[in-house]
Amino acid sequence: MAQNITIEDVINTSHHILEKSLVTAGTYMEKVPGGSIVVRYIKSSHRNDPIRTLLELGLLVFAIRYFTTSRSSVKKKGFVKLTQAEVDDLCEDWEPEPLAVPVDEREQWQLDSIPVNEAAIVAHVKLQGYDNKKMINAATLNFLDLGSNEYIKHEVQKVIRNTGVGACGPPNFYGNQDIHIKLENDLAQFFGSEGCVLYGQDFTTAGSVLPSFLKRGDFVVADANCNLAIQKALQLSRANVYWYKHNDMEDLERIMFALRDDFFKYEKPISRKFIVTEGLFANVGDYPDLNKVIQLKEKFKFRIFLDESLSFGVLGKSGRGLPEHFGIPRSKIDISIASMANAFNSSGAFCIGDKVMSYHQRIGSLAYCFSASLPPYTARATSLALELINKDREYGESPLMSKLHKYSGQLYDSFTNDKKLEKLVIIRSARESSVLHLQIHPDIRLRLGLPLSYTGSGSEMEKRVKKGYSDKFIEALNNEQFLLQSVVNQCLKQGVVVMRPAYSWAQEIAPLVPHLRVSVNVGLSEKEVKEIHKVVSNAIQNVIKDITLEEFETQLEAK
Amino acid sequence: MSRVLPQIDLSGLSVEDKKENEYGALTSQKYRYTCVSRQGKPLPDPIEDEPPYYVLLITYLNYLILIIVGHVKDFFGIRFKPKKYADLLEHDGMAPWYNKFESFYIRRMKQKLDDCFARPTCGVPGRLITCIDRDPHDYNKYFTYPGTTSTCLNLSSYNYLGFAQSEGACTDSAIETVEKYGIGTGGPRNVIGTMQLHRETERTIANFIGVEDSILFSMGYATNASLFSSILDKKSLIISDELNHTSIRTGVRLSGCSVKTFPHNNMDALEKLLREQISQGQPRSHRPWKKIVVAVEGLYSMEGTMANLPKLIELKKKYKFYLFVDEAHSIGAIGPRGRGVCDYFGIDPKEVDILMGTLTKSFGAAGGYVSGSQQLIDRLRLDINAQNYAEPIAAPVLAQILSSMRIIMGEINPGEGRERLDRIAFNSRYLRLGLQRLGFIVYGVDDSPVIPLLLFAPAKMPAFSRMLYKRKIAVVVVGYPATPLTSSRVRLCVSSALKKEDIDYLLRHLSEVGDKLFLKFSSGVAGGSLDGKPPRWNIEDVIRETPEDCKNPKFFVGTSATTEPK
Ligand SMILES: Cc1ncc(COP(=O)(O)O)c(C=O)c1O
Repeated sequence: MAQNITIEDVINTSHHILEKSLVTAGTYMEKVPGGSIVVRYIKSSHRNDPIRTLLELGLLVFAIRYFTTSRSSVKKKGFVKLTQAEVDDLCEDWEPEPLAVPVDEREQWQLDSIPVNEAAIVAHVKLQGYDNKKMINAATLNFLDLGSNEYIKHEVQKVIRNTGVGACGPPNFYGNQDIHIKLENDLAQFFGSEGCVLYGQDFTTAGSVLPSFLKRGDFVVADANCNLAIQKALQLSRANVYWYKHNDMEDLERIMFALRDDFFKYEKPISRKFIVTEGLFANVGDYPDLNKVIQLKEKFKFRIFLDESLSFGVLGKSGRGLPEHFGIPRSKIDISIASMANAFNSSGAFCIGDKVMSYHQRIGSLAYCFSASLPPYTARATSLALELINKDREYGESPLMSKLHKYSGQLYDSFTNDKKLEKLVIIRSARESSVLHLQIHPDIRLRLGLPLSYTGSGSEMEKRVKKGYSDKFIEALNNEQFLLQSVVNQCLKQGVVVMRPAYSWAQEIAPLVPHLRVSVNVGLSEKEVKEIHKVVSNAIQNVIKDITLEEFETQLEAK
Repeated sequence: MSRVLPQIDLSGLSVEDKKENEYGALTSQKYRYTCVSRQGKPLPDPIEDEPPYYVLLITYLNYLILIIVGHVKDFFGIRFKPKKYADLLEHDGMAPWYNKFESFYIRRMKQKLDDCFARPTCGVPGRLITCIDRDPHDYNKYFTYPGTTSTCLNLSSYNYLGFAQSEGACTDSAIETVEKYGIGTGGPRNVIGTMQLHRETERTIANFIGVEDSILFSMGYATNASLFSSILDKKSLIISDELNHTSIRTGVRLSGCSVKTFPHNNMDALEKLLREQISQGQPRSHRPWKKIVVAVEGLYSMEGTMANLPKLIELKKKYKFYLFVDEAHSIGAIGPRGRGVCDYFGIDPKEVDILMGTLTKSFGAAGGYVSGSQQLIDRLRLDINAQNYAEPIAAPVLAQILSSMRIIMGEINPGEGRERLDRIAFNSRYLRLGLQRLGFIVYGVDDSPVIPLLLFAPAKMPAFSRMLYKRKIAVVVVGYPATPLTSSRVRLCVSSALKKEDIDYLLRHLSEVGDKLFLKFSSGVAGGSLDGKPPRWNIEDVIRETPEDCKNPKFFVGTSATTEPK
């Protein structure tokens, strides 16, 4: 029987069914306005060619199916079909990892060694656990010691009496007061730029500014040793990022040449391109050759993004940062950002540049639009700090700045001239930096079997992050940090507070090893700067000199 | 006239007037209401009122005209007036700062409303806010300042409990702290910037919320932006409410984990997604996810809606995910004891794994916190990047947080905290019910201090804002892209600082403006109506009846604490 059914029959029966259903559908359709036209069209096409109707119907069904299912079916590709009971089972069986890896006893010392201040954090501090002793603060980033300034304190109190503490709203929604806008004008004027935008916190600023001007398809060439804030910003921007070797202008030029040949020659429209670098590198303490950077930027039509968080109020005769140090006008730098919590001893950060860029941030920069304005008193404090830096400028140099420069040089010289430290540590920072960066000497690190860097390409940490391991504890890293903490502890006993910078190691992609930082500030006396060198040098000698692998390891067992 | 913003001297005011302007004295004990805990009961599904079709049609037309005219202007402008459009053109071999399409909305719409945004203010953003007048020129290209100010009733600041003050215990404490601790910190928390005051505040916050420990950050946005990198990685999944705040989305993106979203507050969709994700595991490898975090907000600041916490906890017990709740707007402002959504729903805060919040809003300070178990907080102290690299929160801000929190807890000025909590609860309910009775469409939960009033057509945003500014009322209007295209709205933020009489004044003016701009479209299904007919009460009746009625749950539809979900 089955063999007797021909294609002809199939078409004929389906023809019949179709005709019947079309007639019933037609009567309904005609009731809908405009429906009669559709029915007429279908009827006439059907009369001419029944197969075509079938085909069109098939197409229609396919189109509807395609449009209703396409999105979910693409997403669900690779899904395993499971029954309800199987899903129930799987849900019941699933055991998540703990939300956070507990801090175990090997790391506990890191928590315990965070210094806690009992009084204001200025040139001299009092730490918990040190019997109310007044200690020299060689760990501060507040280089101009504005925290001790009575006038600023007094003015700040006056502002709080007038405006309260919080601004209670984002800048676009009644959160910006006259004081904020004055500060923006003051900063723009101080640096001779067209516009300035304030941000609520330093660390988020780069991550908000850069992504508002960089999108997928844009290009960034960035220094490989940029700080974490910049690394995060570039991750958010989704631009194509190329890292050049730290402060290596030849490498920078090489990359730019290659990019020009591969991409820029043919592109239309032109993509946005940035060189991203820092004024004084937070991780190293040196600065780039700005003349060369500007030359390259102009040659290859890039813009510059400069993070001056540690160089504002430090470099330049009047503290105006890296361009002033090189005698370059600020207008050559397209975007500069800087923290107001370091040298300015206030809160927040700012971004300066031209008018168009500034205006665009007020709408497009997320941490500006979706976060509350700074407390008004902090804006006043920064305005006053600018006034103080500018005060009594003779021959273009502010007295506050010349004192800082003298101290920075003095500290740097005392360490570089210290023969006893020659084989123990290396100094990576520049003489102009107010923060001295000390790192255990590579020979000793080699002897102790420590890796060249704990993070960055090729490192153990990178591997663990890439593979998604939860355990990010690296024994050697913990040990090296502990060794440096011993130096810090010895200094503390002698009344000098120095820094062992804290890192979020698992998030860093710059090549890093633990190090020590020693800073100067103008609230100290010359004698105290000498004292800092003496104490730190002794502590390093005591802890690091002649350290052997066994000692290194047993010391750690004991902790 | 000057283009430079003048600095305003407000010192002429007497202390009494200043206090009254910042925080109005309570005129009668009748104007208080203590919010009722839901005792574990979930919220029923919200009822959202729809405007008539012609309203939506007009709204789309609005946009259509805007888009067509904008593109035509761009097309000819770029060709015939390249100077005026220089910002959009390539210049000297460099791309413009932003491209034509990225900025279309900004140039063609936002700039036209610029006079309604970023109004400069001065002084305390309390019950009243002093705005500095400005005259726009050339379609808001620039402003000039005549030097005068307008003191407006403030419905724009996130000053829920009225702690934005320059007189009183908090201010005194902040000023005193400047003396003792200064204003700077000199480096990140884990390097040199930790003060005893930080630890004390962290303990107080943990106490206040009722969890083991907490950790402070100097900015609420940064709290979210840095948090997720420390707890999630590429083998973890986050399931996020589609309306979550930008800071959460930024943080999640930075963590590199997988992200899925579910429709706003839709618990069924969430459950479906959970089942699918747990059973399917990671894409391609089908290995189980390491962990799953569900991220929601306590109170959504654009919607006035709340996370359905009891339902979430129920799902959490079943599916073992971790729960993150952003209490930016709810902490302090919500719940019988001001402890946020857990308090409101009567749920033990320890049931929530991560309670994040900001101190910018209810406490009149700045910054954010994360609180939870000791194990979590200890790990965050070491790992979170904001502790290692960012500036710590400053001492005067800490003093403000500490003292305002102690006032709420009744440790300082007993009775004052209670009054603040009662006043915000009363004010929120009074204003909401009043607006509903007048015929406006408002969104959100009955007890929410954020009341979005729907305008729909974008052209009504500037009209509304300007008309109210003339009537000395400061409001925030929001539209696309912060809201869906068709639901431009006014966001009214209620505060304890407002007096009942202020709300009367507000209702009168809103009613008038609402008539002029055709804003009363409600059908009554979402509240304000007892007989099912569209409510269009007379303003005098509203003001007479509502202050009493708003305390009675029977006048609210569905979401009130004592009404049973059906
Ligand atoms: C849900 C949510 N999280 C975080 C923030 C950011 O808080 P802050 O203004 O303190 O940066 C906000 C502020 O608008 C918010 O609404």
